Amino acid sequence: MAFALLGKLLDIEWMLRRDEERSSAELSRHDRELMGGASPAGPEQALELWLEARRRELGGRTLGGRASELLSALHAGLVGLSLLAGAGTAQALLRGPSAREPTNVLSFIFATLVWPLALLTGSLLLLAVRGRIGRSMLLEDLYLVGLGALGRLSRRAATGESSVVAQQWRALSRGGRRYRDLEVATLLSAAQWYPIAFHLGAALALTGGALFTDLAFAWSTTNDSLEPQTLSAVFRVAAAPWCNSFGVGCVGPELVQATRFSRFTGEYALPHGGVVSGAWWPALLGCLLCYGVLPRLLLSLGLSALVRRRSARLVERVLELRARLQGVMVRVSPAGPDPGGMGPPAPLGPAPAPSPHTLPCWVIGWRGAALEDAELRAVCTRLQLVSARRDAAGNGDFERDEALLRGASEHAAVLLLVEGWEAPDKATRRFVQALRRAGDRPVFVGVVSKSEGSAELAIWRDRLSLLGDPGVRVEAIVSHPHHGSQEARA
Amino acid sequence: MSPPVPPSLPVFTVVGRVNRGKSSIIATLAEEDSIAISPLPGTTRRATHYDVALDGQVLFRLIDTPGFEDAARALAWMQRDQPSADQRRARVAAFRQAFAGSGEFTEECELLGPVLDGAAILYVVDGGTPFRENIMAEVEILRWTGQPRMALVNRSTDSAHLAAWHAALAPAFSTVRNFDAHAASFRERLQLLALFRELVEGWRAPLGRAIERLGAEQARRLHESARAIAALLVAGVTHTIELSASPDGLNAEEQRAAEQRFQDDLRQLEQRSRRQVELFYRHHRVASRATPLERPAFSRDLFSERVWSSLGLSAGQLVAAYSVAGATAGGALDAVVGGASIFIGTVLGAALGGATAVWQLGARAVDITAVESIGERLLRSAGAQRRFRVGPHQHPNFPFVLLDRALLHHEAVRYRAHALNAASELALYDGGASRTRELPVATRQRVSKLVLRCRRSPRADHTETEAALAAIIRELLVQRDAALAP
Repeated sequence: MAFALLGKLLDIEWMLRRDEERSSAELSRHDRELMGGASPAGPEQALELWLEARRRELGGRTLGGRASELLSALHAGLVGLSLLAGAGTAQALLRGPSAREPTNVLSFIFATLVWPLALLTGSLLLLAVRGRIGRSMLLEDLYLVGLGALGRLSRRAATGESSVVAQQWRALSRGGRRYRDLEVATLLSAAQWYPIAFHLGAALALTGGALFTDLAFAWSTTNDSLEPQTLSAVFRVAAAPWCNSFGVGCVGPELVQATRFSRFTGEYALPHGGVVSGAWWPALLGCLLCYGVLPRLLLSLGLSALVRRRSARLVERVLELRARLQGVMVRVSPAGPDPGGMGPPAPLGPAPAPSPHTLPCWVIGWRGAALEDAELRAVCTRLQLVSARRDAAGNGDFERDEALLRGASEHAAVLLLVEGWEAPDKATRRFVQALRRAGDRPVFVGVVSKSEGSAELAIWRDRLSLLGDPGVRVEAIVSHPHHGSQEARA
Repeated sequence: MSPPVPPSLPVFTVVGRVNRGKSSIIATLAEEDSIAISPLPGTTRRATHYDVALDGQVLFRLIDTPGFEDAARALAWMQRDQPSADQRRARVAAFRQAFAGSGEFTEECELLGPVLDGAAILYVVDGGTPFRENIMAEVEILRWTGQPRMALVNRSTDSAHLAAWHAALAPAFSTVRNFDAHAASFRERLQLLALFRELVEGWRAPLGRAIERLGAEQARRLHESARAIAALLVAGVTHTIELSASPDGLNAEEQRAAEQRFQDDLRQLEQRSRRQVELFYRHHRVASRATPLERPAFSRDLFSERVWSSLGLSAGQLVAAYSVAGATAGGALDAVVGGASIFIGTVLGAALGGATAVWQLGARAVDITAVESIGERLLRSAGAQRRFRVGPHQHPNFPFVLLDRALLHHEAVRYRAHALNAASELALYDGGASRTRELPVATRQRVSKLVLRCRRSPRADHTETEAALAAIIRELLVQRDAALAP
């Protein structure tokens, strides 16, 4: 459903904002209970499971769910109205100004086809001129105006209980721009169904009128320069798709010649014009379906596919969102003594005795990153690891790093020490991936920095989340300058 | 393959590891604050050229490039078959040909393109971080290209790692130079350009011309800024607004509203003038995000107590300035009577001027006076609306506060590196002390006199006064420039 995605986006924002007020430990416990031991394969699945569980918890009555239902109902209503509008318009045009006059096919074509097609072309041109979806002048502006108007309404209505709703709305609309392309594309896709319904309504009215009433067709114009040959050529081209494919709905020169009508004399150009005029309606039906319904349908399907593609990796869309969902993903991912590596950094001093569940670990210092023995022991204890082998990599010798990976040890885990100020570039990410491929074991990336909660850590988390590998975890390690991470010690 | 002949236009490609400040260096050198600078690695994805041009003539070109992402692996590829020294450049070209458009080594191919096309290399390292051996893979690749190259140690202020960086880079680069993109002054930029001249023989003349023209441009900006500040002073001290009210006059609420509107107008005048100065120096994106209390004095509200207590002249200076002005006027009278008045005019003028200053210091800053013709007065009895004029601002310190703020703002803009615009708001360049309090007495007198002339007849043509003020301000700016020179 087109609006289910909008509901999902609303719910993600809403729930993450609710999370902000709760502690990390509390959230972790709560989510584990909710998930009931589910183990997602990737971040997107983790997000789906988390969202589903949180919705279940609220009895399915979430802000996004309600918005989705409301929009779907509104959409269905508008589609119904469009269908009726199309049928009504066609009826009015088919009956003509007087019951004694045949339907002017030119008026019908202009009102039901030329004008809607011009609108479609204009919209597409606007999109082309103004750039990609989400930057369409009309839609984007209307969208932002709509958001602003709702915000103002919510402020006005902010009394008593409604103030909670108003607050939530304002909080959500602040984050609304991050999904703008998805929202605009979804609305644009859904909006295509109104002209589709309009044309289908017109097609139904035409078919009904042709089959069950005594409609007669003709073409009539005061424009003397419009010769039957010209009109015939235009319709030959227009009707080619169905005429050449199915052999029906063809408009030949004889039909055009015979069905020219004069309102002044009230007569067809040829005496048998009225008899043969029935051949027009399949051509008109073909026009409505081929040029009215089909392009809009294709546009709607294309936009839906675009929305699906762009929403496939929601977790990675926005840095802020990624950072927040990182916690969510790790909270619901299979195991981990410290959810999301969000716990306190390793304390210095003597390490406590290892627990019986500790994993032997291969410690690799990347590009000169290193820790003092005491610091390393403390980090390992926190992660329930025990250092079994130490190596260095990333010092500019690619062949040496390859050899190290080829001779990868069989230890149960890897702790890759990196310096926070280093950029998590492609070489680093490739090395982490190679470590994961070299053995099915978790890789802990220990980001060594001088202070807790540094921006460096967020960047490392962000970039390594691009790997989409739940087996890679980023851990904060605070190291004092006099202790570790000195010049190329590894 | 031999290195191509350098083109006549000096072209420099700025290369280095991701997140080492390449874009910041370009932003500062090219005075281009639209360049995306972000703490996130990989912000620059394509090689983009920035022309440093004046009056439509391109002086030199800088090319911003994505950072090295996997230099060690790229070098390993190039080192296969161990090409001899004369084949290395061709090997780098072959590498680019092999991987361009393949999706692999995207960044390396992108940054090597302009280098292989003949641009000189400016290799940027982060002096704030320790030297690490892995960086040498990048250095080796650049050495293999055979292009003229210079190393720039960015974020070099107060760094403990500079010696290690210089020692490591010196063998591979003709020059290794400290250059802090966020703190570099205009002079430092010109000094760096002078070093660029040494890289390629054929670029000596065009870069020499570029240095001359950029110097002249900086002088022109100072001149234009002085004119803009003088225009602000004149507009500020002559500004008035007119409004209509009922025959009973303005009530307290309406008076407050009128004063508020008047002050808002003055704020806008100041803002427009600042924008002008910022544009002279090509600062298009100067941000001001901090809360008002954290801002430097020139960035706080024009009418805040703190601004008026810290900027402009002190009370003593103001009384002295007005006394001298009064004494001068009285002295003129004494002169007219050939000294027969035994200098009573001078003494009385000084006393009168001083008293005026003391009275105005405590007086309300904005006057609201009725402006009515005789006809209007007659009509008042018939219930017609009355007209009032707000302003001009009479406080003796107002022009000096305005001037102080403009001078501080000008300094902050003139000495600001363009790379900072994306990251931080406009800050004081050199302390926040009042500049006007340090003015020589004679200069203060000249300013007071010119300002008084404008105030006396707000609606007159002040072109000459403005030009005289601009000359004084230009002199002040030039002196300040000389004082701040390293």
